[in-house]
This record gives sequence, C-alpha cells and structure tokens, in this order.
Amino acid sequence: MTLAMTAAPLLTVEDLRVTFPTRTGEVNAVRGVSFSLGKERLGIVGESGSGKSQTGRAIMGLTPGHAKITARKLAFGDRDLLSMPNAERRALRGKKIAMILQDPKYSLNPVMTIGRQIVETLKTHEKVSARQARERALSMLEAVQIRDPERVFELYPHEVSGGMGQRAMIAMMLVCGPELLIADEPTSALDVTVQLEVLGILDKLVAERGMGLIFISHDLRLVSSFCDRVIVMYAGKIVEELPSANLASAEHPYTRGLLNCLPTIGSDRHPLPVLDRKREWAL
Amino acid sequence: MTSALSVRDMVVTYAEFTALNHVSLDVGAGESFGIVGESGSGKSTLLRAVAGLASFDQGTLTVNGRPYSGRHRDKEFYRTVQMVFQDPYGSLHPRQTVDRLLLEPLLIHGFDNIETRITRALDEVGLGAGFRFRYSHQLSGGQRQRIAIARALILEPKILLLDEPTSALDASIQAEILNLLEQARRDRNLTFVMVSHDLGVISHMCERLAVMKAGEVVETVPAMALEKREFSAEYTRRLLVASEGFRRG
Repeated sequence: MTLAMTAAPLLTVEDLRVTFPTRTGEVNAVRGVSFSLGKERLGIVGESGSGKSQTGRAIMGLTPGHAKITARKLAFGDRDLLSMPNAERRALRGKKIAMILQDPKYSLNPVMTIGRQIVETLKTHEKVSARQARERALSMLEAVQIRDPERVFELYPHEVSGGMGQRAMIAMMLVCGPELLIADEPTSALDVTVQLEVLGILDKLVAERGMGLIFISHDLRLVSSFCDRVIVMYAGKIVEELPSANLASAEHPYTRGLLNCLPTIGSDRHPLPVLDRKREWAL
Repeated sequence: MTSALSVRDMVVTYAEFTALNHVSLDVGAGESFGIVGESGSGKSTLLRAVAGLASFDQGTLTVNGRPYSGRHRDKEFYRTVQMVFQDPYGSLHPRQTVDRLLLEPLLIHGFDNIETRITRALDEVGLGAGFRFRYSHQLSGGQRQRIAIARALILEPKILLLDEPTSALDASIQAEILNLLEQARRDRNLTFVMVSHDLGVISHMCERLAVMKAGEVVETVPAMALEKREFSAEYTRRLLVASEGFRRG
C-alpha cells in the first residue's frame, strides 16, 4: 500500500462545482470540491444528496447536458477535461477512466449478451480482431473469478445473479486497462455475503493492475476498510478528509455522527444516537 | 409467554419453485422477533404469507389464538396485524395526500374521532400537522417511512410486520426510524416481526431471531448469541463475518 504521489497526479480536481438549473432556482449539487489523486484508493462518503455521485459523474463526464460544471482545474494527468473536445473525452471514457455503477440490473444492456458488451468496449477503444477480443473478454471474466467464462459469455444480464452481473461489469470496465476507476456504490445492490466476494475481487484487481480508485459509498465503515484515504461530503462540500486508519480520530461532528448512528452487534444503545444536523455544516 | 403469532410447517410454492419449505416459528406477545437471510431466502415471502399477500399451500397460521388459512384475511386480522414495507417510494399512493392515506384505513375499519386520530398519528411519528396535506413526492425517504409507520399504527394493531423498514434509508435516518419504532413498541406494547439482511439492525431491535436460507429456517437463536457467538449454523457465521465489513488479505 503506497501513498506515494507521482510528479503529476493522476487526477486533479480544484474547486469543482456542479449546478442544476430548476424551475425554483439553481440546485448546487457540488459546491467547490478539491482533491488530487495518485495511484491510490480514495473513498468519497456521504449521504444521499451530498454530491458524492455527482462528483464522480463530473469526472467521468456523465453529468446531464443541462447542468453547469465549473472548476478552476479538472485535469486527468496534464490533460484538461473541461476544455477537451467531446470526441477526445469519449476516447478517454472507458479506456483510461472507467466507472462501475451500483446496480448491474439497470446498468448492463439488457438486450446484449455479457460477452458482446465486453467485446464492444474493447473494439471501441482498440484495434483488435474478433478472435483476440473474445479471448481477452474470456480471460477478463476469468479474472473476476467467474468459474465458467465460456457459458457466462453467452448469457444475457437477466440470466445471471446480481453478484455475477457486478463481476461482469467489473470485467467490462477493466478490460481496457484503465488508469482511473470510479466505483459508485459498487456493492450496495448486492447481498451482504456476496458483497465481500465482489469487494475482494475488485481489491485484488486494483492492486495487481495498479490504478487509481475512487470509491463512492454511503457506508463510512466499508469505505474506510477499503481505501487509503477518505473524503467526507456534506451538502456538496468536503467537510473532512482523513487517512482511513485515523477514522476513530475524526473531528467533524458529521463524520462522528455517521460513525455512531449504526447499530452494531454487542453495543446496547437504546435509543441510538442520531445526527443533529447543524446549519453551519452546510455553509 | 403466550404466543401472538404461530406458524407451523408453512409451505409456499410459486409454480415449480418452493419459496418456503416447512417453516415454523412462534413469536410471543410483546416480543420482537427478527428474521435474517439473503435475498431469495424466503424471509419476505414468510411475512407476506402471514399478511395474506401470498397464499400458503400447506401448514397453519395462528394469530392471537385464531387460525387463518391460505390467503383470505378478515377485517379483524388487519386490526391486529399491520405491515410496513421496504421501499417508502413504492408503498405510498402517489396521488393521495398524507391525509387521504391515513384516512383510508380508518374509514375501512369504521373508526370514530377521525380528526383527532390523524393528528395524533402524525404527532406520534414526529411529523406534525404541517405534513398532513402533502403528497408523498413532497416528502423525503425518511418522512415517507414515518408516514408508512403512522398508517400502520393508526389502526392500533397488536402486531407489526416490518419488511426491511430501513434498508432504503441513509444510516443517520435509519437510526431515527429505529428509535421511532422502539418508542412505539414500548408505548403500545407491540409485537414486532422484523425482516432484515442487516444483522446489526436485527440484533439491536430484536430479542430472538431466525436465520433463513433457501426457504428454510436454518436456526433460531437469542440475539445475545450473536455477540457471544453461540450459534451452530455455518451460514449464520458467514452472515456475521459479512456484517463485520471488508478485511484485506
């Protein structure tokens, strides 16, 4: 586990803002987020509406067209993401930056077999023959510990379980060897026992293939056990940033509140402590 | 301890698939009983079969000493047993105001003092009169779940069936809803049957729990046993390990 930063960080985010115009005025989903990322695992934690997913989507370039994105700097290596032409951005997306979404039921194409979807990713970004593409897709399916890759290759997403679907999604996202992987709640839709398997696979591949990871989740404990560094977001802003190992010494009352409100086995706390949201947190 | 709810050898099948395979359990009056398991283990099917939302093919169901069969439930049953569902976005009528949502069960069961009952129900779940004429899309997830709880409690039931009542909510909102449910249980001496995939939530809320897998009850243990690790099934251990989070290595 290394925290070492290369000369130019993999990703630089400075004062990122995402704003949605609505009938009743502007909604500021992300309000001035700054961080930089090397080849490390960074967690972004927050509740629904905190702007964590919109931060990930802005980096990936998946923000809806009517939203306004501004940043002092949003750069992948030394390439500026915001001023980049769309075609260049598309070439980057899926090749150098990949994203794993929450629920394989909705994010995989329901009318394409899993194999074809993986092959499609490969063919979009690389010049490969049909045979090579198939072989690489199969070996990728094997890498995500799918026991019978040949069979799963031919299956449609509805024919596999949630855990299997999510592995297929990981395979699809890693097949081009991205440098940055954004995982937005990659295991929240899965059963608890399957969650650990999928996380284990993801962890191994990220370590082996050496890439930067942004892990977005509402689960502070999970994120801290998975990542090197954690950013806590509240109302579109970063309220605290700390190394995962120092989670216990978190200072912001919001972070502490999130840690405390979970019921755990063996802690007899009735009633559970609840978050007392202070207005100044959102300022 | 008298039994409030008793299930004997219940079998539920969907076409060729056996969703519940000879499941038996007893829940005492005033007890809080938990059911844990993965998706597909039959835990929700069990609650739905008790509530009459799914019909059972074999076995018996006794609620407060009265036997029920298959799918038919009379009004008396729903006066005694109410249910709170997982998804607060899907379980409230999108075109009814909160007032209408709370009114309907009162009218069906011919309650009097409708006005006071609705105001009291809203107060009890911590929402107040300001929420009475809103639609569900004007409420947050936590507020919706409070309305769902108010709707269940307004009939003054004895038994509450809770199907993953907090799994769609943020952790901090989950704490609020769990506290609300505990308070309601204390005030009204309710019996809870609570389904969840989260062992932490179940051990916090329940005194005893059943672990389900593939349509069968693997084992029934006191909640204390989880802490002391006094259980026998390998599957229970796996759930417990999973609940402790990710470990590298």
